Parts: sequence; C-alpha cells; structure tokens
Amino acid sequence: MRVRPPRARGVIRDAVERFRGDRGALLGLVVIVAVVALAALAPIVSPYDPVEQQIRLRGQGPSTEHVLGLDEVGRDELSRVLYGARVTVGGAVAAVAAAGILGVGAGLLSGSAHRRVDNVLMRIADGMLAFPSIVLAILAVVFIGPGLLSAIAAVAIADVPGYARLTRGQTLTVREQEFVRAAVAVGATPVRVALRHVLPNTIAPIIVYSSLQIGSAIIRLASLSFLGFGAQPPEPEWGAMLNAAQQWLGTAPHISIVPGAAIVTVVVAFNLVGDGLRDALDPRTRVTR
Amino acid sequence: MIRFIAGRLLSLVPVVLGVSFVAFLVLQLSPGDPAQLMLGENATAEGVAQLRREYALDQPLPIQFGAFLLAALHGDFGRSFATRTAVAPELLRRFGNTVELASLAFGLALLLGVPLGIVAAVRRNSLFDHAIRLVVLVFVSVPVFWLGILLIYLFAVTLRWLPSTGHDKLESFVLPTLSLSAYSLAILVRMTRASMLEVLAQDYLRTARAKGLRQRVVITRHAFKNALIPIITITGLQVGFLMTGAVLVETVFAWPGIGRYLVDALFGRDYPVIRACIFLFSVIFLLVNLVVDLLYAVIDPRIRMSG
Repeated sequence: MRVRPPRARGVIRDAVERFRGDRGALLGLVVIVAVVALAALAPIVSPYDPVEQQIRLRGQGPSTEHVLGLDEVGRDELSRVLYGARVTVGGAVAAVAAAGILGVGAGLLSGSAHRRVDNVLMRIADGMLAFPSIVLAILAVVFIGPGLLSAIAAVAIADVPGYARLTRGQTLTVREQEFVRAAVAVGATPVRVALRHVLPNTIAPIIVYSSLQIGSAIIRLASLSFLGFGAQPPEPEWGAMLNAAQQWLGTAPHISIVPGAAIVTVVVAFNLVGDGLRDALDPRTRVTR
Repeated sequence: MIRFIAGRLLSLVPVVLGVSFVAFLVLQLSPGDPAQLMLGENATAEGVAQLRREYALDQPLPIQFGAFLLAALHGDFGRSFATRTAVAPELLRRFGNTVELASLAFGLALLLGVPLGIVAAVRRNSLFDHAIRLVVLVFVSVPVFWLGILLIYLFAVTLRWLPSTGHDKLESFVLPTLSLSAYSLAILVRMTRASMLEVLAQDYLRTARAKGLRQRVVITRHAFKNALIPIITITGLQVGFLMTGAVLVETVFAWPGIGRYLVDALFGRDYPVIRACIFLFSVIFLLVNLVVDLLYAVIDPRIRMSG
C-alpha cells in the first residue's frame, strides 16, 4: 500500500496570493524574466557581434548606432552585456544549481540515514565551513587554474554546506510528522520516504534560499572574474568586462558603468524575488518585516 | 566559564590542523624544488641543501607537515619565490594595512548601521523606514569592486576631491573605507531592524512601557540588549566577507594590503606566499568565530549552561 503525501494546494494557493500582492517581488520577477529572455535570444537581439572589433571607434560613448557605446577595443557594449548575461547569470545559476543538488542530496541523506553517516557528512560540512569563502576560491584557482569553470566551482563549493545544513534541519523536522511516520509504518522504503514524502515538504525554504543565493553567486562570480581568476578575455563576462574597463575610467567611463549597472539590476531583482518568496512561503517572517 | 572557553579552544585544535594541512599542500604544487625556487638561479648547492634541511623538504610528507607547523608557530613561512625574501615580515606589514582598512570599514558600518536599524524598527513603515530598506537592498546588491570604481569615477576622476590610490594621507583612506563598509552597513541595518522588530513585539516590552518607562530607556535598555545576539552573529559572519571584500577593494585602490599580496602571488604562482595567506586567513576566521561564540556566552548565560 502506498501513502500519498498530503496535498498542499491550499498552502501553495495562499503563497501565490501573497506573492502577487508584493509589488517589489513582482517587479523583480519581471526583470528576471526579461533578462533570461534577452540572454537566451542574445544572438538574435544583439545588434552586433560581441567579439567583433571596430578598432577605430574604440572607447566611443553611446551613439545611435551603438546605444551603449563601444569598449576599449571597439566592441559593441550592448551586445557584450547581452551575451555577458549568458555567462554571468547563467554561470551563477549553474553554480547554485550544482551546490543545491549536492547540498540537498547530502542534507537529505544526513537527515534520513544512519547516525554514523550523518556524523561523517556533518563533519565534512563543518570542515568546509572552517574556510573563509575567499580561501575556497583561492584553492579552486590554485588546484584547477583560473577560468570560468574554476570560478563556478569555487562559488558552488562554498554554497554546498549551507544547503546541506538547511536540508538536514528541515528533514529532521519533517521526519517527525505523522504522515512520514505513517508512510514508514506501512512499509515504504527509506528511499521512497526520503524522496516522495520528506523532500517535497522541505522544498519551500530551499527555494527561498536558492533565489537569495543566486544574487550572491552573481556577485561572487563577477568578483572572481574581475580579479582575473574567472572568465578570461575575450569572453563577455560582466566582472571581466569591468576589469578591462578600469584603466579607461578617465576616457571611456561608460564601459565601467554599464556592466556594473547590469549586475546591480539583476542582483536586486533576484533579492526582491527571494524576499518575496520568503514572505509568501513562510508567513511567520512577515511579522518582522 | 573557563571550562566553556577551554572546551571551545580544544575543539578548535583538529580544525586548525586540518586547515593547516590544506595550506601545507599548496607548496607541493611547486613546479620543481621549492628550496631552489626560494633561493633563485644563482644559489649555491650548499645554500639550497641547507634550506631544504631547514624546512625538512628532504623528509617524508608527515615530517614536512610537522616542520611547516613548527615553523608557522614561530612565524616563519619560508621565502617568496618572487622576491627571494622571507614571507613573514612582508605578510605582517601588509596584514597591518588590511586590518586598518577592514576595522575602519566595519567600525563605520557598526557606528551607522546599528542606530539606523534601531530607528527604522521603531518607526516601522515610516518614510524613513522605506528609504532605509531601499538603500539596504541596493547596498547588498552592489559588488564591492564596482562601488569602488564608481566612487573613484565620481570623487577622483570627475570632482578631483579625493585620491584614487595611495595609503599615506588621511584622504586616501576615505574611498576604500566607504567601498568596503557599504555591504556590512546594509547587513547590519537589516539585521538590527529585524532583530529589534522581533523584540519590540514581546510582552515584556509592553510591560516596560506600561510601568511608565521613557521610550528611550525601553528601546536602549530593554529592547536593544535583547536584540544583540543576532547582531553579533552577523558581526562574526562579516569577517569572511571583509576578507573577500579587502581583496577586491585593495585591487581597485592599489592598497598595499594582504589582499593584493595574495592576488599578485596567485598570478605569479608564488606558492609560499599563497600558502601563508591561506593559513593566515583561515586561522583568523576560526579565531573570530571562536570569539563570537564566547561573546554569546557572555551575553546569554543560557548558552553557557547548555554548551
């Protein structure tokens, strides 16, 4: 016999209702959808090739042909920012997704499996948390070498223990609830209990955490590229673009401003949605807002 | 309390060993003989052999690790591959410059953030509160290095009020400090506000008001004291951010701190320097978190009992 987890439609409908009432979160969502669409359609919507150089026009400010001007070697800034969204936002989402899958898996296992497994996994998480995130990033650079992939890895690794702890805590709470005990009582396998009954009921805080982590991951990824340890030129990555633009601050300030403004816009959007989701999914926190 | 402190210190030992081991491994990546690299092309064979003995580089790994720990305890981190000089004095000098910057930035964040957070909580949903929340949202979403670039563009390039580099005059501290403090400031405001709102909703605050205490006393003595724990937690978490932030800010402003030292070492594959930086960052991180743990116990005796 199979026990179905309780249907949570009422809860979800309530959450959607609350989210729709949050103007900031809605605005953030619109921005994110727009950025994702523009990034996906970059080859179509970009007016120019992001790596094609018009060296004579280098450093030129905004004009009707080049709405956001040209960069330090004469590439169209708008096209580079659009393609850059793929690298920066895409990379950050990939990092958070990787961290989420690893961390949630480890946390679920930790909260469901034998005490000994739990102990080992949590000591590993403690060990990872003993390093400040900059050191984890350095280790990625030292052991893997600079590059977009090692930067994504550095961002992801730093987030795994957070996911693991969050999921483990949620799992331990959910496991005590009656519907899980009922499932165990009728003989559901541990794997089925963990995946079918526990996981769906831990997902809300994980979603909230993820949306807030993406904003932070974008900043961390861009920071590593800015330092020269992430995406390498000529790849259009927002942090790397800011790095290259720095020495032209006096003559071509627009290339120092545009990629940064893009980062702030997207990160604000993710933070607004994250805050909105948190309020919508966990009404208790609304009191303190 | 002494037992509590001793326990925490003891539990730190294996973690410090583990962190040191990871730092130690970095030098193993050196392409070639580290002793030779530390002394350069023109070193005599005897000199290299002596250095190798000094750092036990001719011994098996566990003994090398022991020698590294012993040397690190004496403040000896070997020689830089790039400059062939001892790492420790340079590390210490630059570390001082970073601590200067970080403590100024965090001091400013505390000085402004906590009062702003309290006022925002007390005047919840006022215009002031909304404005503060908007500023917080923007400040947590701005990359530190871009804020630095903007400040340079505005105050150094356009207005020519402040220098964009240097570390000698008082003016040269302004922009780096502002850049580094923005994020901590925002986090402190947010945390103080949330923590105060929670406490302000408690019954004992109504009691305090009901017995006729003045608003200021209620806020500072009754509410703020109980809102301190989350604020201290955040302070502990900020150390990790301040390290990353210092690396970025020092890069933007050419600040002669440990962050730039590390970035240069990473580009030059100067493994002894990288190793020393990893060691220093990690140990400080652990120590600050220890202090935060101890502060909890000082503020909230219940933690001492259960811990």
